[in-house]
Amino acid sequence: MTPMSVTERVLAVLPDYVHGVDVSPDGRHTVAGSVSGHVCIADVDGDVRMFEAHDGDVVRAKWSPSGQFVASCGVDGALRIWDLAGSMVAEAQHRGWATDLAWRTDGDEVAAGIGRCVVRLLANGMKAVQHEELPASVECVTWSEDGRRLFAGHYGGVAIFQGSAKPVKTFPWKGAPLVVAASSDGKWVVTGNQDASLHVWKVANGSELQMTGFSTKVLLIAWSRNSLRLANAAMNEISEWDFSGKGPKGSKPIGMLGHSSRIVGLGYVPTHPDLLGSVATDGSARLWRPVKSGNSLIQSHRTQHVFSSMRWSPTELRMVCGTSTGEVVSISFDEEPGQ
Amino acid sequence: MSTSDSKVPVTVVTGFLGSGKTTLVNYILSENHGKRIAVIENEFGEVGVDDALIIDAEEEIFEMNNGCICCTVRGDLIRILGTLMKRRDRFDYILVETTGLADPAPVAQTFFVDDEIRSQLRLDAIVTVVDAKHLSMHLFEEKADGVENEALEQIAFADRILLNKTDLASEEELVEVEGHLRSINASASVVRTHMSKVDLDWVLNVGAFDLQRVLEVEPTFLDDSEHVHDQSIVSVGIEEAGQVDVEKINDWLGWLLGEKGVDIFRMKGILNVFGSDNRFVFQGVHMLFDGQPDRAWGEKEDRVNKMIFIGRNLDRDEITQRFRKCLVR
Repeated sequence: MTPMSVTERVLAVLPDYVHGVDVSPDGRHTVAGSVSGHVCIADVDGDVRMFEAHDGDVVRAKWSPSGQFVASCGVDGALRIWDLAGSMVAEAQHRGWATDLAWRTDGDEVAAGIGRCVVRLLANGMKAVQHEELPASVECVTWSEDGRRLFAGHYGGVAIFQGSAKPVKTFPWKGAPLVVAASSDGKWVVTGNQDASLHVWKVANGSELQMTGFSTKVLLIAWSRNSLRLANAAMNEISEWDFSGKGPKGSKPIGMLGHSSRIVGLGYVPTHPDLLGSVATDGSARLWRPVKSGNSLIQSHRTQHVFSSMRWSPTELRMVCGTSTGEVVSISFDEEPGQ
Repeated sequence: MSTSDSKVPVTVVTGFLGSGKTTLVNYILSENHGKRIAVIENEFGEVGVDDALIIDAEEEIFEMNNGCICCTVRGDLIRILGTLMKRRDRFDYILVETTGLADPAPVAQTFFVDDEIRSQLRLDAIVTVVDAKHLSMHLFEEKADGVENEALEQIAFADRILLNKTDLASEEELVEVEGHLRSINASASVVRTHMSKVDLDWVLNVGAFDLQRVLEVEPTFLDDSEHVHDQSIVSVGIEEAGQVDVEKINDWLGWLLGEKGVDIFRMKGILNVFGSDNRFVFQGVHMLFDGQPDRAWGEKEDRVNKMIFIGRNLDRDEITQRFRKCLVR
């Protein structure tokens, strides 16, 4: 383990459990949503703006790729876009609870799963395509890197939308996806599922594979920037799968153990693509460089917080974490680990 | 399935449309002072009490690819309960009111299969409200092949049964209905009610899934001769003296869960294991089984194996005979 100095700082405090955090593309601002209904935008200089964004829990809050807006969605069934001052610039509503949202990576358009529908909204206030309702509640949404496809996971499979109201295709599967992620090369789409499994589809032909045997349902999955590796977490265990060549079929993952409780945040480091970070409810934050044999752990940091979520800054080796008591905590790993 | 004080108890209220479920929920909310209760309901009721949070849910059943019945859970409950448990001002108690046609199994299984829910909540009991006047009609309603009789299943799953609307039925009718209820589910306690008015201690914090309280209510077994009607769901009770062999009883339980798990809705039991001075207690829902050594047998206590299985098409003789082979001779 390379010695590193770790700096911990509370950026903001929301009234209650922080569901989701995100860091702006320039790395200067953080957004967080709370079950209290508040969204808070904090910048690195300590300036904090907090506003009531939803009636009831805020489920997600994320920056637009341009850095000009944040989007939030909540159990009130609303999807809202805000400017940095906290003024609402666009809004859409559907019957049911919102479960997830995702910005289109190439523009100021956001999609959210609300009830059985995928609702799309443009930052200029115009409603994008109105999609038809799916057979079950949408649990998760994600865009392909090129912005052409929109994937929506629901009980029964993954629906793929393009320009029309109906899905252009559905990958059927009798199970309940909870999270969905598409690889940036567009080849793969993966879901983490209620029945403690990962399900993988090859986008081109719909061929599938499944990884099972996790100790709990899978709520966290992350692609490496180059689409060659996929990490997932279930309870206190992280697995990394090799997607190079023909994919992970028949292969064993790299296992990373060490957190003593449920992992609630997982992600590859944008500035250090070979590194993976994780946080858990036991207050631990860990930095890993996954290796097939030997110890993958690079750094472990212990805090007093019960973490609830985590995102990496796109510009530095710094994670921002939400906690179950409302804090938004910044954790910087100062020394670059030796290569 | 063990309980812990930090876990928030959940009571599931089932019963046919018009039986008085909503009346019971309203009664609990109005009678209960000091507790913060959240109600998750699947039907639009007229519930409305200041301190309570009422959430409308739409039943959404997640059936898993592996086809295992015990992995079937309620997606809507996972979503709602997950969010409720994140709040700082947690509720003291949660009531889940199902629709009249709901299958209780996915509701119950959600509390054991989903790890997040299992770690924070405990299923306290399943309370079923039945309409004294109309129950028989629902019970013996002819269903097409493969169609479940939900009224029967709701009774089979129950820990507590409110025989409601007693003012509308004669004493003879009530006695007859009580006989039906006992023959379906011999381990649930039944109370006669009017307007769903019941002692709250009888329906809340019952601890029906608590292993320490397994068979707290002595099952009342009926003789086979008392079965007036043919019915597919029955209680099979076993009460046998003697000690059981650990390996043989494991095989027997394996056979029971594997072969009959789909048909067994609820099971509870106490075993007298050879070589142990402690009772062994178990309980289960379908294939979800939980068992552990319990307190020591009392000096004057009869060391008797007692079990009850409530389910569909259970062969009393087959189960009993196979059990007897586990006894140490």
